[in-house]
Amino acid sequence: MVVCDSISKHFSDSSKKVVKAVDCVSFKTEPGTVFGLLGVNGAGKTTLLRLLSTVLTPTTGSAQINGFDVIQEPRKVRESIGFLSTSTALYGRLTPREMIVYFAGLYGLSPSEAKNRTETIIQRLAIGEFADRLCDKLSTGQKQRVSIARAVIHDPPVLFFDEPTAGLDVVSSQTVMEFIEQARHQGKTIIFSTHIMSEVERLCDQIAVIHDGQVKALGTIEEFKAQTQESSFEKAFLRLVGYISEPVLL
Amino acid sequence: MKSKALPAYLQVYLKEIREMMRDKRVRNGALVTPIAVVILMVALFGTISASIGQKSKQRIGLVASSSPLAATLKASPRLEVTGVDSPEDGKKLIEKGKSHLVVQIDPAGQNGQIPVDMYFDNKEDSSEIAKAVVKKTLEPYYLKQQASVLSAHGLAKENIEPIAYSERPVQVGEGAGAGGFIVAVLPYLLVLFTFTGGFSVAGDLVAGEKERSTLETLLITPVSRTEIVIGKFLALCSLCLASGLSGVVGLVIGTKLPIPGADAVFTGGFEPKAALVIVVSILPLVAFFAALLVAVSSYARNTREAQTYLSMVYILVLIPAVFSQVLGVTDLGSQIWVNFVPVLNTAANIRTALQGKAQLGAVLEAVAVGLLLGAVMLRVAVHLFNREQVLQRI
Repeated sequence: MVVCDSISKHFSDSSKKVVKAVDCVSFKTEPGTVFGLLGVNGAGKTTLLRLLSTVLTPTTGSAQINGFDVIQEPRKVRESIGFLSTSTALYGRLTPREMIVYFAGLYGLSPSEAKNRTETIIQRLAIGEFADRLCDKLSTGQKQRVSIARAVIHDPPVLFFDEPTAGLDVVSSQTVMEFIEQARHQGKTIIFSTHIMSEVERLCDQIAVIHDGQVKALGTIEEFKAQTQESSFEKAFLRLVGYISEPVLL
Repeated sequence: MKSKALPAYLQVYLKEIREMMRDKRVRNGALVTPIAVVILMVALFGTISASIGQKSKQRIGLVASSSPLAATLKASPRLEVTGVDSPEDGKKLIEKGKSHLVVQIDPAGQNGQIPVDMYFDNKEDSSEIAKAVVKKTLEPYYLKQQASVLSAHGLAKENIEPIAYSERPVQVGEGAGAGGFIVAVLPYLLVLFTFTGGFSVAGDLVAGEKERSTLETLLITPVSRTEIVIGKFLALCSLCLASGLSGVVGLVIGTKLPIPGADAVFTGGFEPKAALVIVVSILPLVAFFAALLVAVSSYARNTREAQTYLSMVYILVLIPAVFSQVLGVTDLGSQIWVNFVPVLNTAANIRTALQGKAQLGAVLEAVAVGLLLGAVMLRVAVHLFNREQVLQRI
């Protein structure tokens, strides 16, 4: 379970002006569901996920991940989460097998556990064919599969996906989507950040529309459509974030 | 029994070492180059020392003469004599660089004195060496004639020498040791190798991880940031140490292999005690350099910015390292303050160790200073690595 309680993150820009990257965000999500964070680029989705994963410390407010507070028990929080993003890379001079074992160790698994769990996940994600090739030599899709393995090697109850399909081809994206569906089926709590409407429609049980660091709407796709009286989800989203169409002069 | 996971800092350390060792640039730069450069230096300075030490033949020109002195010079194993018809011909040999000196021996005068004219290029140090060899070669004749004249007048040699000079070398430290140029250059090289070994990967270590976004995957593991920075620091320590030790290995190989001139560099070989003193002197410097490099890499936004900062740090390290080369020609080496200047103190101790006259007090002072600075710089690195503003600067 993930509970966000009025969490905020403020930065100072170069002119010392305070920028509210995340502003008083609250929501709650249950195990076995996919919670979508939907917003345009720069809306604050990644900052929010960094706060929840304890990489950043909140300016105000707090959050509980799997019952652990992000400020009071950051180590317990990190033990409970897996994080996947397309922007995070792999160690180019390690092989997928070495890299997965390395992260298993960092998550506190004993050498024998780490080895067994690594072999299981290599098989499950069909990494075996390239498991002993250097990560630098892998294709984008192969790298993404290794990243998934790295994120879930410790079998965390909570998973964060930050635009996990950005830059991936259709086949690689499909692998990620299927993995998220399987994780939901296994009862994991999933937070899925994206700006792709089709992915939200396919995966998310509940959605928070984030704009300028604030939650503009919270609910399901059908609730958003009803609220905005729009026929399509895309139009509903645009209305929620206050987008005003401007005619293009040709 | 279920085996426990290794401490996190050790896991980070082992992963960094594995990655470093797979990088050809690191292997060549930190391990191969120091060995090769030091062996080359030993051979080069050995050749020069042998030449200056008059072990090689000196090329001289000799104007045709029937004097027995001419025959003495021709018979000398330390001279390579080329016959010329006149001093003018001899000068041409000097101009062409084929001769260091031209000797003209004239017939003895009425008082029995034999005039020996020596022509040479006063801008060439080699001429001075050739002059010394010629004088040494003719010395037995000189002494014999002097004794004969003195005896004829009923005098002893002491009667015409109001001052009697005696050269009595004092044994300082071990009998074995190095001298000459090599003690000026080797400390400088060993100190620099210790730094440059880590320099090549430091930018990649934290700033590179920020740039590639691999650092974030590390930060969301349960491992504390201090453990991560300690693991990276230890990996860099290993590399700096390996690079410095590679220089020492090169030194040992250089003195053991039949490299021309190596025996001229080290009288009596390179003592194990000297190697030990060098390693002990380098260790705290390794800790200081590694902590400094991790701190700089943590602060930088990306590898490019890290390289800029590291270049500035390199210059700061270079200044005392270069200064260490002049320790031998001044009395600075014996001054206390040198022991408290990082880099310079290590170079000074390596210098005395190479000469076989290391001083325990000076070594301990330098080690204490190095460890203190290393601890302070590691604290700075840990502080920077724990600062959100620093780690999120991309």
